[in-house]
Amino acid sequence: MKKLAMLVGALIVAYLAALPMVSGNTFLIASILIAFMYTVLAQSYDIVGGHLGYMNLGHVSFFGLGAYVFSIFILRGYAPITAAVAALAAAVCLALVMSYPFFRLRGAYFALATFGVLLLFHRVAFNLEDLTMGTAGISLPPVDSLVQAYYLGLALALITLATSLAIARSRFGLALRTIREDEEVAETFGINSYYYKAAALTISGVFPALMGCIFVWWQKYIHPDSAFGLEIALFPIAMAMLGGTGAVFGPLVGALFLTAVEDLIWVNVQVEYGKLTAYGIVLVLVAIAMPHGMIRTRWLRRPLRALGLEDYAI
Amino acid sequence: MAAYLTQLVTLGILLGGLYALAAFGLSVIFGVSRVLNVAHGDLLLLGALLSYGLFFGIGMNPFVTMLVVVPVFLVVGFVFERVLLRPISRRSPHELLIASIILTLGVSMVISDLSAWATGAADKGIAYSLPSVTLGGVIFPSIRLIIMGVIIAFTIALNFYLKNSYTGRAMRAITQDREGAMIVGVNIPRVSMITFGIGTATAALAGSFYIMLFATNPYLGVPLTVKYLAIIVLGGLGSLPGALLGGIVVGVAEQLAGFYYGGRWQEPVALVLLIIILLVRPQGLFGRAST
Repeated sequence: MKKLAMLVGALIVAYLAALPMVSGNTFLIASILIAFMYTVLAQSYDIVGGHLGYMNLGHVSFFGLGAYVFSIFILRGYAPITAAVAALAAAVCLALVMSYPFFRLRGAYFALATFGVLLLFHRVAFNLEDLTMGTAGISLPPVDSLVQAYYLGLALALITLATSLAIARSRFGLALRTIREDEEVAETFGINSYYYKAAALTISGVFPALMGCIFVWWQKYIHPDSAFGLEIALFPIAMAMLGGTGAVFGPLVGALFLTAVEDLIWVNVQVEYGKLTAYGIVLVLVAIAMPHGMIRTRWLRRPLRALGLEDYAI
Repeated sequence: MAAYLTQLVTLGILLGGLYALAAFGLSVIFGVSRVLNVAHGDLLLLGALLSYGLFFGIGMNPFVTMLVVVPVFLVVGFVFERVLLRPISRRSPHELLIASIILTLGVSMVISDLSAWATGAADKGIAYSLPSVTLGGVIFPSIRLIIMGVIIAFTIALNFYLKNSYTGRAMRAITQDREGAMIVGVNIPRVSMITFGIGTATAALAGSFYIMLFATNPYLGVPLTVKYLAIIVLGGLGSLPGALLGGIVVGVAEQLAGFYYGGRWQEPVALVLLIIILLVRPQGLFGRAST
């Protein structure tokens, strides 16, 4: 990466870090926190969805699970750190338990089956009322935590981006991409595909689970729809697709773009219907015209090359 | 106790036939165009809506609506494939997978949202009663019997079509060996289009029956698709008798779960069955061992 790019990156991070201290605009801080959240979700999705090539449409299950486990532990009086560790453990368990049956499926079957897991969690969150309060949702004691959540979110987003980069450059990432291209050939090269797939899923599940904890810490309320609902489920995937699936920072581009669109357009246009249609049409157009995502379009080539970032748009 | 069990199983079998019909459409589309249509459930719901509209609009008998629904959705399927899927059908398998999922997901979102906007998000159903038939202490709800009868007739007709017509045999050929079919001169794009029409019409037909039995709302689409996927995997990818058996297993399991654990546990049943079959016998009940 060229020095210019690193300087720009450092400046941006410094700006983001300083923001809550100089600005009292809570709407802005909250919006950026949401941007962090979607960045984490989209980038972590892409580890399995993009690098490994298995579209895990149920990726957000990790987020919701982390959020719920965190809430349940806090409600029972445990310290936030303990609750977060519990959420992390739950996510790792989920990843390992899911790997065995689900990685026997390929392609679209895997995609829909993992989406089924998400639906299952949604149902279970409603049904197990003793544990999860069902439709009422879990409310936590009010504490002003926006700024705390903001910094935690910033840290997590940076770690997720760094992990994506590390994976892309490492032998682990090479193994994942080989599996994506041709799993049988990868096996003949000695890549134990089950191990790599399970490892990738586990890594991809850790970040959303922690983000779930941060989200609940901020909102102090969790409900099956905000944890496992269609919106939270599909947005990160739409962002990863729009931005560029399989590219190192593609999902970041998609997350930033769509969060901006959300904040600029949808805040002003409050419609009951129509938003889902707009996103649906965007997805259809992306599939037909721009399946490789925004980061790989021709008119971004020159600016990326000038910044020395073209390797991150493969 | 045994009477309860027989009743539940009977209801489950009758329901299973309906599920199998919808799953069949999904399976046949996947076999020929290699696209798992995420919008399948939404197309089913559109069929249900058309039936609903005809019933309440012009008082058409719900069973007669299928004569309208099937042709309309044959055409809808043709257009869908030609306009949306044809441009992406020539891509490499991995790209086709991504593109087809995003595309059909997007279409699903559009259909859900537009139908919610046009008709309201509230549940809808057709309340149509017929006296039931009781045989040996087991109640056979007449509506479900008639539906099952229609489905059986439809399945026999479709099976005949698949075995004896040129297009039907072409469909099976493509499913078995795509390159081989191309070599013998099968026009794959055209057969894909027809298959999509048939699959969509099947889904819509199932939908017009569905709305007689259950309340529907515009957001049920994707969960339904997931359920039909579970049925296909349960029965074995690429096996049509498997889809029928899978449908019946899911139907019976749903009735049993609903009775013993409460109605709200009916929905996850198909998913739990999917996970179990993946653990125990991943190729499904009738599937071949390779994917």
